[in-house]
Amino acid sequence: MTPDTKIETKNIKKQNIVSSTDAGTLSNDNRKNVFSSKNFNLWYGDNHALQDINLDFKENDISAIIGPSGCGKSTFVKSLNRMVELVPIVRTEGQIIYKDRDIFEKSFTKEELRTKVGMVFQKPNPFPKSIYDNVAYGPRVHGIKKKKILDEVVESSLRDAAIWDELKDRLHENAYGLSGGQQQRVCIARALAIEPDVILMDEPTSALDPISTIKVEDLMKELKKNYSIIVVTHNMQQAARVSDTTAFFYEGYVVEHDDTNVIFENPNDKRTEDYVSGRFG
Amino acid sequence: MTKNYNVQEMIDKNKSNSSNTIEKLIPTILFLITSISILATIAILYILASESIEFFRRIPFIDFITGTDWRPYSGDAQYGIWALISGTFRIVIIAAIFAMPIGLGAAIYLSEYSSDTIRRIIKPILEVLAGVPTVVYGYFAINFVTPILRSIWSEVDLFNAISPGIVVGIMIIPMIASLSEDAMSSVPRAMREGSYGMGATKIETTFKVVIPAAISGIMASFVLAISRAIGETMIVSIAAGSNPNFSLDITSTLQTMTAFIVQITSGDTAFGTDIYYSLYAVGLTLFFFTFLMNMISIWISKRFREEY
Amino acid sequence: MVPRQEFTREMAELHDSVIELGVLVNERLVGCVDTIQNEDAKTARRKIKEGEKIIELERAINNKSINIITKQQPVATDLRVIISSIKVSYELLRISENISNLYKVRKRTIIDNDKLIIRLRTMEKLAHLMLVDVKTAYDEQDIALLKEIIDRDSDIDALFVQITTSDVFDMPDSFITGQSQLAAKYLERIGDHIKSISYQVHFVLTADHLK
Repeated sequence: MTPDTKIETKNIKKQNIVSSTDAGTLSNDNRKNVFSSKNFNLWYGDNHALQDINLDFKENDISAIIGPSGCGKSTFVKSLNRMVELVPIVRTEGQIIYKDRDIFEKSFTKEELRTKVGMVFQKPNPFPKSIYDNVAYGPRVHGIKKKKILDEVVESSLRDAAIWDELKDRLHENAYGLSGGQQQRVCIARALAIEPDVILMDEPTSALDPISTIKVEDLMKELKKNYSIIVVTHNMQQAARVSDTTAFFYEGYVVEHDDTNVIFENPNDKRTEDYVSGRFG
Repeated sequence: MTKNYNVQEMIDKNKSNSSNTIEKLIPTILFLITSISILATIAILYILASESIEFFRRIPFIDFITGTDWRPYSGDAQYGIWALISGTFRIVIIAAIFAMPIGLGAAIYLSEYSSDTIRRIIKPILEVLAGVPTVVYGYFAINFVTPILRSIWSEVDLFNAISPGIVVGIMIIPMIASLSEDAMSSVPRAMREGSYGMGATKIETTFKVVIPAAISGIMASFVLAISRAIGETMIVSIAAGSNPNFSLDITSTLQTMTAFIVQITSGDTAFGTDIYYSLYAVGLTLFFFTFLMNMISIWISKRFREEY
Repeated sequence: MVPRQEFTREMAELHDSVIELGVLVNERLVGCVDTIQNEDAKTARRKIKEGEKIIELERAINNKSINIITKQQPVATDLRVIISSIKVSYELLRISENISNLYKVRKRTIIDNDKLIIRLRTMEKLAHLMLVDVKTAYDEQDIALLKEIIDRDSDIDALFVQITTSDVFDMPDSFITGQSQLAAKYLERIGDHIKSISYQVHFVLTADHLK
């Protein structure tokens, strides 16, 4: 008896593979885009790592990006705040528009872009400074010096990161003394301190234990009220739990981008179905 | 796939008892080896101390410790150590002022700004600089640096503090640069990325994140370099002079502790004289300063290590 | 190597269980009307007991479904299949209960009105055909067939209305009349449950609900 009784339902439904220019059910959404990539291509040397990416991200959405290892999802997200250019052999073509401005135009410096687009990394990376100094780093580096203001900014950022009560009496302790989950939330607070519009998260919970993971996910849902969040994740249940839309990347291009409900309940493309069902490879 | 070998059996067969005895013997052997160096230090310290005791029987300790005149050859011999300390001090300060910015600047350039190819070329050249014999440095000081100085600033005498100070500085630059660069390179890339992610520029990231994170290593490099400068002998013997005085004058002749020891040991001082025993007292003082620098270094790394 | 071999195997086992349940129920359905007319009460009692196998299998399907959901976090088609397995096996269980109810009628009385029996047999045959066709539609992913099966339920309903409203089928004993109307009701319910199964199969295949 072969165990292969998976129902192949795709010959009943739509046959077309959704191209990356098709916005699917999202085209009915009239909200503004906070990020929009148009025919964006990226090469690492000779490796064509991102191919013709056309994606829109709506304001106040949590947008997830999923895909197997090496599919380009981290590369794409790091292109949004131009962190990918820290690698010298990177070359790009095409546009990425942040709220009507092309992020590659000369008048829009990387530093300015990064004050509007914050980032949380996979492994928590607080500075070896006090918790207070970690959170105050962003505002300070951008010229905010008055203690009273910094005190308020630190408190409100730590509150937004749902970690103020835990740490309010320990602000002058070194951030390295915290647990992994706490460190990551401090890093989130640090990113929030400069009040960006968008927060990019590159697998923010993959180094955390399950309880910290849940705390960060709950935090993301709270933050979405005031920020737009784009999250790269390996963890499909996480994408299903937290995101409004999901984009499935494969080998450098977008296979499908749609409402999360669609992607996980009834995707259009067989490759998407295979991937979310864990039947890839 | 059937295996025609059994790893467990082979492991059992190879287990021998002799390796056990060697395992037990190693710690003892290593301890004996280590104790050789400890014994050497104790021996030196002992000799310095015991001979100095003889010196302090002849010259009051309080005169030595508080006096600012060092005139061992005059009829009314004076043995105030502060004259020699002041000589060492002037050289070391000049060397530090010269070497620390340059060394740290080079470290910043190598660690944060230079490409891999440039770094691979420059670092070895720096190592060469560290390997130049100090006697060569000394001649460089007196024959090259001093004349240039004198042409710029007429106040400067043939023997002075600036010229050897600068050259000692040149000598310790590689130490500062190399160790600081190591410390800064060890700062994880993720930390810099965290700073860039918030819109900080490269300079801001270097000075507000990388250097504070590497400060323990950087301070260690400073302390090491200063210890080296304190103990530097050849350059100061050749270029600084042999006229101990307690002042802040950097344009005329002076003498360091180390130069004094060279002067006496290369001359024909008779065994048993006061001057002979003064050598041990000066040596003990040098030892004391080295010890002090070590303690500072340990304190610094303890204090800053907690934060990283 | 097929990814998630254990998961694939468990889904196959679940699938086979549901099919087995359908086969058992179908076997029970065929010829059940004859019992009301012919067999003795003891046979009827025996046949009622046979329903217990089906109750156990439905329970096992439920447990297996919960287990797979817990352990494997299925999504998309896999999840639809599992949910539908639970619902379809429930409907099959209800069909089996209705068949048992039919046997209970025989326990109480014999119905020998030929005209009535013919009608009841027709209802049974219609239901049997519907059930067989649902399996075919599922195997061949034939949506049109599913829609047609759903329509056929109105035939069974029509027969039911006829039996219960026309006085052609009235019998001297009002108790027997009542029992015969109950029998017709049970068969009509069986048709409804098969219709529900068709809706579920449609959902599995298309992720859409038919109106």
